[in-house]
Amino acid sequence: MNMPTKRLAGRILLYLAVLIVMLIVLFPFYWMAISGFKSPDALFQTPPMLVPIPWSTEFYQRVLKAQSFFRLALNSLIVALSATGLSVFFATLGAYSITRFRYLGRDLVAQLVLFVYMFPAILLVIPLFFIFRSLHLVDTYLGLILAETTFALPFCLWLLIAFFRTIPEEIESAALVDGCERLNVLWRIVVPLAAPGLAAAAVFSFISAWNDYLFPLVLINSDSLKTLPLGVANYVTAESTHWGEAMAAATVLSLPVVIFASLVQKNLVSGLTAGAVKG
Amino acid sequence: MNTEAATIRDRPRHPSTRQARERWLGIGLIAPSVVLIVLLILYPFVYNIWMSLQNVSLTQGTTGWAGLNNYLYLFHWDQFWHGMVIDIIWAAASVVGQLILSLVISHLLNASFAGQNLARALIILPWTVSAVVIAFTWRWMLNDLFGIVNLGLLGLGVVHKPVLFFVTPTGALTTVIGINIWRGMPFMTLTLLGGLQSIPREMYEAARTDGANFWQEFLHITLPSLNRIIAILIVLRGIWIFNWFDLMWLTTGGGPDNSTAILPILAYVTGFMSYRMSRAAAIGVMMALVLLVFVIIMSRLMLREDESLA
Repeated sequence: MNMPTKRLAGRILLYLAVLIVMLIVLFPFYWMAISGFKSPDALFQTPPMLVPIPWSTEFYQRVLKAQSFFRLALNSLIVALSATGLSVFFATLGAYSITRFRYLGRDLVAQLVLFVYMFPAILLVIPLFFIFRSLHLVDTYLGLILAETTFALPFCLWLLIAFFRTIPEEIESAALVDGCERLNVLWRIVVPLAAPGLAAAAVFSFISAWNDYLFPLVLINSDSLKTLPLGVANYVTAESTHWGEAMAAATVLSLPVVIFASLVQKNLVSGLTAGAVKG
Repeated sequence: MNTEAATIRDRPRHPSTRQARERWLGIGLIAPSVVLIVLLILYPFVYNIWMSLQNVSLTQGTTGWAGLNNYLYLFHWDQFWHGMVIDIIWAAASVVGQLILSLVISHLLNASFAGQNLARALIILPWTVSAVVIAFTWRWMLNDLFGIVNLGLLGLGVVHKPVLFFVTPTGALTTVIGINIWRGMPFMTLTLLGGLQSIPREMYEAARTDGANFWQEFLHITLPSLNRIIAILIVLRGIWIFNWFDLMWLTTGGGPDNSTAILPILAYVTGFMSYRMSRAAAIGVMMALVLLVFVIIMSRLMLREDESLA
């Protein structure tokens, strides 16, 4: 083979390989979304329809019109937003403290953050259940929010400490010499500069709390407080499986996450790298 | 009043007062995080150890001191050792599978082609969605009667009867490992891609003028440059998967016949379905110990590597 032909063959192989990889990565999402758009009869048809024509919104309607849906979505939103707000706020203060102040025990705290960042949910959920039960926090928003914070707070601290270190201190020193108060400097100078890091921290905290299954499974009993992942799981149980509804509900559950992830796509990789431990 | 406030602020402070003020501000800013971490993570962890030394039942509460009885029970419990072995296999196979695939795919995405940015953006999707979504979508696709995978395989004549993905112990474990590789590969790919992009181009150019082929470049430039990232990925992802409850629970539920009951599932079932909380706590402590051993071994290995490099 001469060089141009060999090169062309290489290009074709590259595109083919990328195409196959992307197909394997994305096909399950396509199949999930369109399974919900099939009519109840078409869902179990063989050979299956690769494109749902005629399409039907029956399954999506069943999911969205279910009495519990609005409640589940609202609960998920309340818990995920609260855990995110709490974690990002305290982590911003904490990360600023660790990267800009000097005091006894500071390095110990930084190491502690790394250590607790490794803590798996399954090891925490057993003692947390007992502690929360004696504090009457089982089956409450607050209990679930605090439980989600056990992941989000160390994660945000870890990410923001790394992020604040990349912001040169000179800008702040100048403002401090001019008589600006510390907290003003944090709010007016550091926070705007760290906006990409804060966005990544917030999005990942939200996604992890929104997606979580184990903490609500253990800590929530009442139907009125359950979150969306528990609601989706309810469509596929040992007793009965409703695949159409399950796929429609799974699509609805994934939609905000996919939108959010694409919004912060630029910071996604750096944020993800920080998320190497969990998630 | 204004002038008074101004004079107080303008008065030159003793440097040590200013330092002390800064110190207290620093401590004040970190305090809420430390309090939350101590109350929500460290205290529960200690409480968990204490629980494992008691007789605690979900229904009857604490009924007395158990000493090491819970641990002795685990020691003689075949299901525990089975769970440990399966858990290690599950974590190791998932990480190795993800790593090998990611090494290949990160090279693909590092080549220049039309739609490169789109491909890099879309590949992350499996990483972002809930375990509930992953588990149910794959279970639906792998369904024996109506799943697209079986219908496709039957239609193409690859198999003559449906593959029962979740029926045998080995089959179920292999299937969930496969799903987990699909789920975890994107993250590793993007991390390795970041590593690849940080390798100076000149190194490859120099190798190429010396007549090195792709494999020589890969073995002598790429892998050594990535080995730190790879080591971190193995440790951190391995730890995380070893402790991951959601995906296995939502796909196999630990079945068939408890064959895929990895330690997180065993802990959950023991605590919240059999109500033996102190035994579940002991399983948790054992998991933490396994991780500790793993971390020590890995950090020793990484340390040795650093020394040999120096």
